[in-house]
Amino acid sequence: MKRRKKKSLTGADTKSICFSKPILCILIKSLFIITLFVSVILYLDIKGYFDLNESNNHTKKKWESFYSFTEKNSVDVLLLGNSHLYTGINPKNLSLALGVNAFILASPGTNIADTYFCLKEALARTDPKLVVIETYGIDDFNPFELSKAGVSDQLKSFYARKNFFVKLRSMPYLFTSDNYLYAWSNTLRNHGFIFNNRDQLRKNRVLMTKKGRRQKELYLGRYICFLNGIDDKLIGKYDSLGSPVKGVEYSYSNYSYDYVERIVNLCKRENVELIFLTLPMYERHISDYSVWRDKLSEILDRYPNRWVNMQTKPYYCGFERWSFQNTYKGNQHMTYNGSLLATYKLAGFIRDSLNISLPERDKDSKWHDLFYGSEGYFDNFYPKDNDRNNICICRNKRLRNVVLDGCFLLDIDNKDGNRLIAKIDKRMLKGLKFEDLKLRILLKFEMDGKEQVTRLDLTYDILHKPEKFVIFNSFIKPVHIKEIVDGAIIKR
Amino acid sequence: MGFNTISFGIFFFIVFFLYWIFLRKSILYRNIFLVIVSYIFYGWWDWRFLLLIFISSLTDFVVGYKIGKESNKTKRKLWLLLSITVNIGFLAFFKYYNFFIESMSDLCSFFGSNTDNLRLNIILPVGISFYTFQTLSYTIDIYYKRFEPTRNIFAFIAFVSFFPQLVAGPIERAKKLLPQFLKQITVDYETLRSGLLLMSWGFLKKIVIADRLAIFVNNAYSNIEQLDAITAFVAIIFFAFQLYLDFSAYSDIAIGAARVLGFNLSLNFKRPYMAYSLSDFWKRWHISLSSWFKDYVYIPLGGRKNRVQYICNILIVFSVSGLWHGASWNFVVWGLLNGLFLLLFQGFFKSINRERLLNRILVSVSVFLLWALTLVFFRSQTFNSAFLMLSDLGVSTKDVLYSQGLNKAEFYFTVKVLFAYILFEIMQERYSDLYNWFVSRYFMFRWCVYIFIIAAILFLGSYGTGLDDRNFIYFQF
Repeated sequence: MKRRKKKSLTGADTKSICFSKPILCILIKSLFIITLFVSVILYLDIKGYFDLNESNNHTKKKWESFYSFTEKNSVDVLLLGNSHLYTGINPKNLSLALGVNAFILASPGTNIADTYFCLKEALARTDPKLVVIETYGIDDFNPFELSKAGVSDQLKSFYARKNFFVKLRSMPYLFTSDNYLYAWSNTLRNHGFIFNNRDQLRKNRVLMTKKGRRQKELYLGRYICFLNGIDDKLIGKYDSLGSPVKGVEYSYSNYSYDYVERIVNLCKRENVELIFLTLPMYERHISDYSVWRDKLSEILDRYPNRWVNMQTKPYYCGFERWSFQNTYKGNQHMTYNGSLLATYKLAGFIRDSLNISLPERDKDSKWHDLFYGSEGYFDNFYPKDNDRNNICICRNKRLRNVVLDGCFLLDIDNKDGNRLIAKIDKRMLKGLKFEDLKLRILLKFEMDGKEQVTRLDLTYDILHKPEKFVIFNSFIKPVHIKEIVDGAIIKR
Repeated sequence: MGFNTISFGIFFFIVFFLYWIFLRKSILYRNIFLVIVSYIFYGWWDWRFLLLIFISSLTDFVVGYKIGKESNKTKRKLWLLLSITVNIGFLAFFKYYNFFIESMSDLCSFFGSNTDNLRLNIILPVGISFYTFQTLSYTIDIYYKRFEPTRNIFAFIAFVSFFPQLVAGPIERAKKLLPQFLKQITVDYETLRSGLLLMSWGFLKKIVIADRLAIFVNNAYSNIEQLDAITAFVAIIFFAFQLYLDFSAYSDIAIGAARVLGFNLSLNFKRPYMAYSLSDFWKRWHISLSSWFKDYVYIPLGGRKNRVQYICNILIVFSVSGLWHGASWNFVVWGLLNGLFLLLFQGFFKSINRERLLNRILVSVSVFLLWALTLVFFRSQTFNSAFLMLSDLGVSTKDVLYSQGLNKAEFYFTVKVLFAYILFEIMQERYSDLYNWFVSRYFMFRWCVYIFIIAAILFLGSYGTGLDDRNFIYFQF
């Protein structure tokens, strides 16, 4: 190869464009380098080489599911908030209780500013009849002075969203200029994985070669639940140390006022009903809640929108220790059981107290196909005849003092145990206190080739409260049930 | 806005574009534009201090003019005194008021009185130590008739507030920089290229190396009690490199940015860790400040007239230099230590035959180690923590080396990069025409280097949410 003659600095090559038009040359070269690197970064972002652990990235999962769901379905009830919401409301049960499509767009640590922009993006994609905003995200905050964890949550939420123009407009409101690039690029944000998370890079490299798989199971935005309620040890802490959360310490910033107003105005413009929801913490977890409530009222009472405050009566009734996470930390969430209770309370409020007309999707077989088998489905509806895993034992069975609307055995394939539920029309038990009742049935079943009859007591299900029925249930060993011979409602 | 922020990137691009496309032909409009953008740059930190820099500039412009016009020696001296009073007064109040109060506090409490209520909540204006010295040099040079005052107020204000060097130097002499604001500048490709390359190099040093060293150093200094000998030693060495790379990176970016706009700033660092004596070190480290103290403090004090005077002057200059760095006694001690080492080891370094390579290496390493030792006082918040860090050099191994914010992989990466940088500096020391050699290479080679630098910054840089060590160290002075 011919060796190129060394260039002299003083004797510049005057024929070169760079020496005759230096600024143009520099601009072109700079543009080329910028384009090159932007392309590389874009490529790595699209391929997800620097993505976070997918199994843990529920913010991304939620938005992908939202976009996937709304390709073919509308969302009728849209709920937004933070972890209090996605642990406190069960979207499947809510959907089934109301006969609608409910979706929860909630991310960890979301503040009201981020909630506003998430709502804006969601409304650009779908047309809900009702929006529910959980109030825990209304806090004393400044979106430009968040903690590192707060910035990180906000970045994740921003990155997971897909509407370019809404994201672009929200960027100056959510981040300082130093964080703009991190908001758009996982590559720049997580480039440190090269040193501190090489395992994730390897996993991402493998995922890069696989095509993205769509979620098979219906996912409506919820992802976490706590199972254990408050134990005696925690009660002891309340006794000795008092409440960890002090209502008097709560205050709201101008940003809180500002973004609540923006949300209200946005919903008004889009002609969407808006309500506010406060999900509870254990009553002993907070002291001087009335002070906190009054401060929040100052913001919310400015608007005609309804506020379902489950921290206060009558909505708080029914929540017990088992409803709340066993933690002394300030941020206490609800357990799975607590969330079911809260979900049906919310469904009841929407149904009975709000004057809005929701679609009656339970009349649509496609909607049933979508939700069939989801948790809460059989509490509200019935198994299909050809469903071998969830079978109907009887329909409209007259017992001694009551008529069973239906009795189903669910999840037969589960060798650990099956749930037996019995539904009774509420009107039949009018005037009675359901918690004091149980359903005693005589059950004929087959085991080891022998037919047997046994007495079984089904307890009132305080967690699943469909609109028209009272549910009694019990968990039984896997047996082949033949029929219900007899039964009656009795007092416990 | 710091140099290593998106805001600066956008700001500089706009400035560059407007400057070269629209303004380069008119000196007046160019200077006005530079004043505006420099004030925007400075105001971005805190707009409240714009008035301060304006007053300082205006005062020295008027004083310079008056001194130049005045023939009476006493009146000239009075005008100079005014300039010194205003500039040092601002510096003393904003930087040293609380320091003096706190220092007095111990003395007063001995006599039973309390000075706590005299403390004020004062914010230190960014760059005040730099621009006050820069304007002072202007009036002092006029007084000594080394320079003629300018009548062009816009040129003068632009000279004082020129944004690339406003917040952390180099501290320019009017003789060198001010005439550049009074003449037409031309753009050529080589200047632009070298300026941009220097800026990129500065960003590489800062973001890839210095900020990564900072993670280790900050962790170590906040857990001094838990360190062992190796970790303490590494922390001391790392800080010496962090300080150098951070500050020299800033200077590179400042010089590069100025060059891109057609201005030539002075070299501020000349491979100080290759120095062959402590005297040589001070001719290579923060050259603009060292020469300022030499010309405006050391020489007026009498310089080296006799041995005693020389020793006193050295100690005074170094103490004052230490105090310039920070309003704290540990900075004064740092300065004094440097002065003492200079005096104590002067003879030793002179006696060594530097022609031999091994001697040369040993001398450079010795100078570096002495310097690194003094930096323990520079870095520590208190004397107590400084002595604790030094005492940790005798603590047996506790296996804490990889728990100072850098895991093993990152730690060794840092060490390798540091070694590579040292080799690069050795090559620069040996082959002073390295830049010219580089630009005369094949197109592919040069482009590979450009791409490597950018890629290193983007993918290996220590930046991101959760990493707070992004401000340049010398901004705090």
